[in-house]
Amino acid sequence: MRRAAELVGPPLAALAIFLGAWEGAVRALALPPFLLPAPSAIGAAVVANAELLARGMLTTGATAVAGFLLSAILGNAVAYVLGSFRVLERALYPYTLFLQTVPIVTIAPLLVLWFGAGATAVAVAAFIVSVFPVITGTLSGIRAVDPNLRDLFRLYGAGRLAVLAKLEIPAALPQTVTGLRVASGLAVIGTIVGEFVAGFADEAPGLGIVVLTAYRQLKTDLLFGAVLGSSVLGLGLFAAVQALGHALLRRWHPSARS
Amino acid sequence: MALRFEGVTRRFERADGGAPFTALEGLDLAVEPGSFTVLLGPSGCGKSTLLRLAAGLDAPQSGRVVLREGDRDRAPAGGPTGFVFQEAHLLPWRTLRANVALPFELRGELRGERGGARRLEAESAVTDALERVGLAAFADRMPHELSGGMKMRASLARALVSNPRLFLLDEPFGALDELTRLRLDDELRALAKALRMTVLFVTHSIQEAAYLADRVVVFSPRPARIVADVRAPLPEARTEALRFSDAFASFVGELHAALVKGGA
Repeated sequence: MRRAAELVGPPLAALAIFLGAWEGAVRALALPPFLLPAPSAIGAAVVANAELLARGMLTTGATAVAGFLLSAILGNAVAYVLGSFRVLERALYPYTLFLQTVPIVTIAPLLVLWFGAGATAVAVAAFIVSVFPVITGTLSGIRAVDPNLRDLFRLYGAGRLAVLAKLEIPAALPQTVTGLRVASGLAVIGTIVGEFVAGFADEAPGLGIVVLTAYRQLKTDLLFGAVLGSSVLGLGLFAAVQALGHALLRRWHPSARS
Repeated sequence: MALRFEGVTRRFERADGGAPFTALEGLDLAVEPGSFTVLLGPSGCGKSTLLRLAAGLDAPQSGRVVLREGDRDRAPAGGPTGFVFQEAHLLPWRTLRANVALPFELRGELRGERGGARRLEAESAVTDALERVGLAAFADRMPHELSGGMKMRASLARALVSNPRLFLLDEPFGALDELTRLRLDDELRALAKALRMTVLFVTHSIQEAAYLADRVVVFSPRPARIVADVRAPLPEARTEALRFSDAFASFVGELHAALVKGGA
């Protein structure tokens, strides 16, 4: 109990001081609310638009999770294939860099052309933004497998699939989890950027659309509310991945033991 | 199981494109079945290459490596060979029991029609192997919960579980503290004799070679040439007291002289 208080107390106090100073400054300087709304005004806007924000979080959250799962499944599948065939890795890995470097805003209009505006195009945008760290994470884990362990598996006549299932996948798991952690944050970012371009057709507008609308109407307090909502989503997805990684690695890997 | 190297040459290309180097050149060596042979030589002389060839993990550019079982010759790969590395190399995500069961799993011996019966046999073989190295009480522990010596024992159990006729060890106890190492030397020799395995043991420690071996083959620095091939002038049963005897001291002296003469 006391430890919990020591853990939570200081950051809470810092937050209170920060919000108090913000509130005081806005009032003292009489800043116009479209430039910088006071925390109390943001709070009021969040309450007033609770349903809009909650639906936005639901839409954006579901799309981000879909994009993230796509990255987790396809990214790892690609890494296992590239890890199994050196030739393929040499031939294709440079092109995966494309996924890392292409600005998603330039691709998003293409996605609208191919998939139509809506959740599918947005989820694909989230996938493109978040898949690269999954591929590199798992692939570098497979590359780092101890050559002596490979010899051991060869000595006992292990086939290619046994090496993958019983050696490479578990040995790469810590790096896979690291890749997924990075991907979880990127998936939310990719979703919101995707919504800027392709999200206007969703039944319930996602947070990206809420941000755009609030911006056009100069409802800066609501805009802050949407920012808050998206960071809650990012943290939630991150925490879920963290918990999954901990459960998988707890029994044997130092990163999950402390 | 007998083992023969006939005119074996193994050269390695350097990864950085430098001049290739020769680890073994025209090497001949015959190992009698059931003997405990120690390969003694300076680090990096090519002893480990010799072991990898015997295990079928590597192939020579010329010459051949032959295992003789009964009256049949065969190539090294694929047989029940036990191999112990310089470190324990356990899979950290598996319990000791699951680590020791690995050879059965990988040989695919637990599948198919007789899978159920084989599984029971394998389970009891795993339990036996763990008992033999004194780790029965730790079967469900994870490797990171064990000391270095215990990990090495588990590694021995894994190598022993499929009842190999040929047992290859590459400086297995080099990273352990002195007392643990002496104890494991004793246990290893007792096991090898009880199970009548043909053992090839690589080390750079003269004392360890003298204590363990029926026969010591001494190598020069690279490319490895055999500079001495000595039968141990010691009784079959090795005990603690032997380490302090005159016979042991003079054998150590003889091996030392051979190493120095070989240019180590």
